[in-house]
Amino acid sequence: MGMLSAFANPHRFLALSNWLAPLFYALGAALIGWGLWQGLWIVPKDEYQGGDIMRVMFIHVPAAWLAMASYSAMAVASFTWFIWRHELADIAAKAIAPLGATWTALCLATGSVWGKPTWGTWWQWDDARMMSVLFLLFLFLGYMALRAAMDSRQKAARAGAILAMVGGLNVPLIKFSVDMFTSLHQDSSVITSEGPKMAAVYLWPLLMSGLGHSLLFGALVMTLMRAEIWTRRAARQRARLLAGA
Amino acid sequence: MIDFLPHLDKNAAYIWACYGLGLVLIGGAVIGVVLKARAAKSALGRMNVSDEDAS
Repeated sequence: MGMLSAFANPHRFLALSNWLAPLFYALGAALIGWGLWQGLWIVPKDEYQGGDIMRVMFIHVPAAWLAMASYSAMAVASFTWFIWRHELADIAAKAIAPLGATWTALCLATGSVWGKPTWGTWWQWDDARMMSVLFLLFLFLGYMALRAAMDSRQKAARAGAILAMVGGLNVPLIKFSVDMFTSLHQDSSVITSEGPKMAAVYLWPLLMSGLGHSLLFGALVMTLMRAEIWTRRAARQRARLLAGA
Repeated sequence: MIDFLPHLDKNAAYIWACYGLGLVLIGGAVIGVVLKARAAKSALGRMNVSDEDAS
């Protein structure tokens, strides 16, 4: 608890993120660039996976990982705010939402484009994987809309936290949807109980690309959190000035 | 076709569309976030100046 409080200090966060965010931007961009180079130029095409179209994997799969991980992070931050009322946890949840929505939209869009030449369709309305990820996008958008509709910051944090925590149930549903229901989507090939089923030549660029996306996402979350802290400070100063006038 | 680009099979348009979407969405997110942070920082700076003027 003491350690949590130490990390939840906005002054300490601003000092830490001042050097950590640029480092994450640089490392994230480098790893994404390396993954792109490997994915488009270096790795051999896999005829079993439809030829060159499998190269979409190096952007679609990291986007899917980030979509699920970001929602999980938002739910954990919301839980932390709900129990301990740390302002920084609420700021983190608020910062994650638009970025999580962006990566989820990227996952859906690239999945749809990949689906057309592979399955012969852009979209399948009764597919559990596609629909659960679409629901995830609506959860992110709903979270933002709900917060924006509240007339105070406290109410926005509370309503948003409840939605984020309840919506967290959708994340395991996405992960196991291909095992529990019939789906056009292939089974998991990286995160499985028996370990990765993918050949190393594809696995390493995919993992590095996933790490790059994660670092870039982390840098963007830190930047948005810094912006929110500055915005809240400005609002407090404005209120103090008005009270003094 | 430009020589430095990878030589992809008949699905090249789908592959480029996916990476184009990535560039637009992620690039847009980076630009939007950086602009928002800059605006928030300068707004706080303006408030600090007003605060100093008032005191």
